[in-house]
Amino acid sequence: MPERDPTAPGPYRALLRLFPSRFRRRWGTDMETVFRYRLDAADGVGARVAVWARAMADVALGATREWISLFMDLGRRGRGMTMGSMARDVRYALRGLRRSPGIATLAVITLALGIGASTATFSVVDGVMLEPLPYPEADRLVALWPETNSNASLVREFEERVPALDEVAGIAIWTGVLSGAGDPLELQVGRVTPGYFRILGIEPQLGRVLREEDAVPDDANSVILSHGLWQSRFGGDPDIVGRTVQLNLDQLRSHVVVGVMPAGFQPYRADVPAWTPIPVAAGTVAEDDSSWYVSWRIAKLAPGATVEQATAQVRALAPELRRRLPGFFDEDQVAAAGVTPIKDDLLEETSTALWVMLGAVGLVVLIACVNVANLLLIRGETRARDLALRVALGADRAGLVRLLLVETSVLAILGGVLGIAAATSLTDVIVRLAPASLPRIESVSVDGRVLGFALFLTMGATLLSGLWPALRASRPLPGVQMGGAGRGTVGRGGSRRLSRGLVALELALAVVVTLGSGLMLRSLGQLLSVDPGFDTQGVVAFRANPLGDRHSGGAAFNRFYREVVEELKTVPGVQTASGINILAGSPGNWSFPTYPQDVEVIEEDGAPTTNFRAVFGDYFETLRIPIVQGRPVTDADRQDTEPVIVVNQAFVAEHWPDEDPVGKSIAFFSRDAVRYRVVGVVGDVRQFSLGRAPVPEVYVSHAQWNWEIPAWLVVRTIRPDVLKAQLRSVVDRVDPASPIAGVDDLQTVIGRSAGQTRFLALLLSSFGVLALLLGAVGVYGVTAYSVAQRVPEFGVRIALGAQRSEIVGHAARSGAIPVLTGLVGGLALALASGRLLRSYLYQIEPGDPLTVALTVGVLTVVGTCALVLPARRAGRVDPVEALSAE
Amino acid sequence: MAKTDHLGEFEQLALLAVMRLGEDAYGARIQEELDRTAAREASISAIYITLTRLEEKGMVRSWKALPTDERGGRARRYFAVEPEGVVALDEARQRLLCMWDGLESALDAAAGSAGGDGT
Repeated sequence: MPERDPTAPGPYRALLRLFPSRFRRRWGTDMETVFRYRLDAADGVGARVAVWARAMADVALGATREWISLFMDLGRRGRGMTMGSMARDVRYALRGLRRSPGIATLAVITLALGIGASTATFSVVDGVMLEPLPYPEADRLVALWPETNSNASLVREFEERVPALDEVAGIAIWTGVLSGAGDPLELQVGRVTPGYFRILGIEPQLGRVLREEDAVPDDANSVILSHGLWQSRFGGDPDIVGRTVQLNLDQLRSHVVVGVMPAGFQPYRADVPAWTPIPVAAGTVAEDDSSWYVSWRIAKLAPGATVEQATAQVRALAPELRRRLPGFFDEDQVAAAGVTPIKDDLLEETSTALWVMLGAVGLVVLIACVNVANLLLIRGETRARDLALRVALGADRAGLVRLLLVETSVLAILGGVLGIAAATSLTDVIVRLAPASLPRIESVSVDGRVLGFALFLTMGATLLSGLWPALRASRPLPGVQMGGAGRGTVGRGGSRRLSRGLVALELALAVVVTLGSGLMLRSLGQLLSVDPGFDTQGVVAFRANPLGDRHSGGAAFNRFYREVVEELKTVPGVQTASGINILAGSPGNWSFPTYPQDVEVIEEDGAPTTNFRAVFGDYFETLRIPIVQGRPVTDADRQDTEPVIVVNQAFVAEHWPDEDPVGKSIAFFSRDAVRYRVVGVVGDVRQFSLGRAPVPEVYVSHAQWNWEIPAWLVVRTIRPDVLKAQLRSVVDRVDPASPIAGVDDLQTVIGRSAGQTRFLALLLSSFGVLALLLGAVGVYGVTAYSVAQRVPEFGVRIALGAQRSEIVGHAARSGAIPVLTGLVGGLALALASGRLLRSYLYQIEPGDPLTVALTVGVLTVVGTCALVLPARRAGRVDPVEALSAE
Repeated sequence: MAKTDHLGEFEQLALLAVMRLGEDAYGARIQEELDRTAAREASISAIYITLTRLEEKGMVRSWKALPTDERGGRARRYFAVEPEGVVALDEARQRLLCMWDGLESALDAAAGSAGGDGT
């Protein structure tokens, strides 16, 4: 026994256990002494942490090197590593595996499941997060403050006044209608300032990208087409550049194609089929630029400039902008001014979710490896005689370890191949299930890197699951194995202990994954059971877009929609029909600075903002939103009548908590603007997602608010299928040139806002089921093996008069200890790591008692089944047979 | 022995450090010597791993010395270079010198011109 340095910290000594015992016995004491010496010499906490960090890195690297060289040595000294001996080992391995096909099949399936699930998950993480963005100099691209809207002049001002930024562009998404040549098509159009394509650095396939002169008002009719639109709508016409197309957008009716982007172009924040310039007159400044619809900004860092420099410069500019543009930026926004690398910007909400997924699947792989290790340990036991025979015939330990490792490799390679095959189809499934809000999902595929990962995993699985059993099985235990079968292998009781330890570990990991998936499922349930504030049952929603020539001006828009509503009411089954500019659950928002009567607004701090909605038809009746007080706005509230408005309960709570809101007035954008008289109060609805609490909201009559904005129609019907089938002909009766889009049940539209939670819950629960299954297999395998080993003992007990039920109980009890240990340990681990999930949980705590109880319950039931099934076999032992076999 | 094993760079440094330290060659001192003289920050496990290899090749020997008074007085393992080690070091040196032969002037010229740019 080597002497120990009693002054060396315990954790360091524990760390040294990573080294092979040969090395540790020899150098352990010296290394402890040196470590103690360095730690004593370190001055201050920082220096001590550095000593620890260095020691940990040193041990990790050193131990890896030492183990590798140990095995290289063993291999070399074994029999001489030649292709011939390798081939012989593989042949032996295959023959050996054929002899216990049950264990081999179980191990291969286990590995295939683990490798398949994790490779598929990795391909998603790789495609979404790890692969570089497809732009030259992507590391110089940043997203620019503010997080709210800005206008095009502000974008230009940033470009001129922030030296760390080379070029800045603004991005917005509008809806347009492409007509002529085929059915009218509603499409999303990217409105961008001309620098957009230059910043991304992608050349067009045909023609040119946007230039400054394209953004001159009255002349801003250039359009760039995506490769897809060019192909589908214009048949890939090689002479498209210079052609005029009927694209109705805002006031403009026709546009000239100046360029076509190449296939595979991934436009930042504007993944749409066409892009047009945002018109800005020369000399316009931010104060009098009306293009406040610019939603995002992208910029390129000047050569050599850093994100920190650019952030500092933008932050220095923010207070001045807040002063100059009162009401637009509040204090918090000024404090948050800066730039963010676009990858971080795109992945903001996604990356933790993906890491959680990868972590969970990593645990599943670990469970799979532990499971295989256990199966191999069992196999090693049953092969004790075979191995002893080999030793007796002159085989050395190195050769045996190699043979056993080759066996594991064969299993792992089979598992790996099956796993990769599974991963390919699983990746497709994951991509199809992914919510639209998951960025860059289009770049997910099983490519070289993913295959590399799978290979790495396969090799890791071989070592992780094969090494320990191989070392144990090849341990020289002279004179024991040759003797007899069954419990004759008493010398290997340690193996059984190890095996039980592995089962406990496996179950602990399974608890972590299962509890995580349970929490996500419960969270999803909570989210979907949230009352959105309206009744979605039997409501069909769609967009109709009157951006045709016949409907110029807000009044014409309103007329179009009212006519469509009247036509919809003639469809059999329809109860009510109506519409709104921005439907709950759909993307986009109008939020205006608000000046409620009797509320003091300090311009410096920015006016409070309110969601603004314009409705037509019996909107509140269609969605069954309760009228709490007064009356709703109706189509009778027109431009030539008194301006009136309806507020929601959140608005009243925010601005007039103890007053009667009806009769008060509200102005928007400025104190002196038109004042709307409140005529009613309606119930709150969840506008953005089920998980976000209602915010102050107002509704005006679409007939009174004279803007050319496409709207959603909502129809309550008892025959949704009939309605959907007739929609086109209904709109045709009003205007055949108006496209319809987004036809869906309102329930589906709303449900989409829970997409990320649903996706994460689905994946995690599949991992949970997998973990549970693998855990059960582990428990079953070990119990079954232990029962088989003790058949003679049970035979004796039964012969001596023991009750069969006692025997079953005894067999099950001895297997129950690792199950219980695993459950308790796993629970502690799961509760400690639950915090990682917290931001994805809705109205539920990581330690939610019901979920914990359910998880423990499920695992207990599964664990008990896995215990009892093989234990029952112990009760069926025939004493005569068992004893005669001895 | 048919052929002397070639020494790697770090093996040479470790052997030289042991020789330089003489009777005072043990883990922590070797680490310091490498850092001070060769500006090489080596981890302690790397040093022990290398010295183990060299010992297996018969180039160094090690022994446990009696506890001393300093630092809690633990017994520590000391190293000394064996004749094989000296031979291997000498061979390595000769090989390098052969490779250098005739190149000194070229190196001086290159160093000279580099220095000249600076002024």
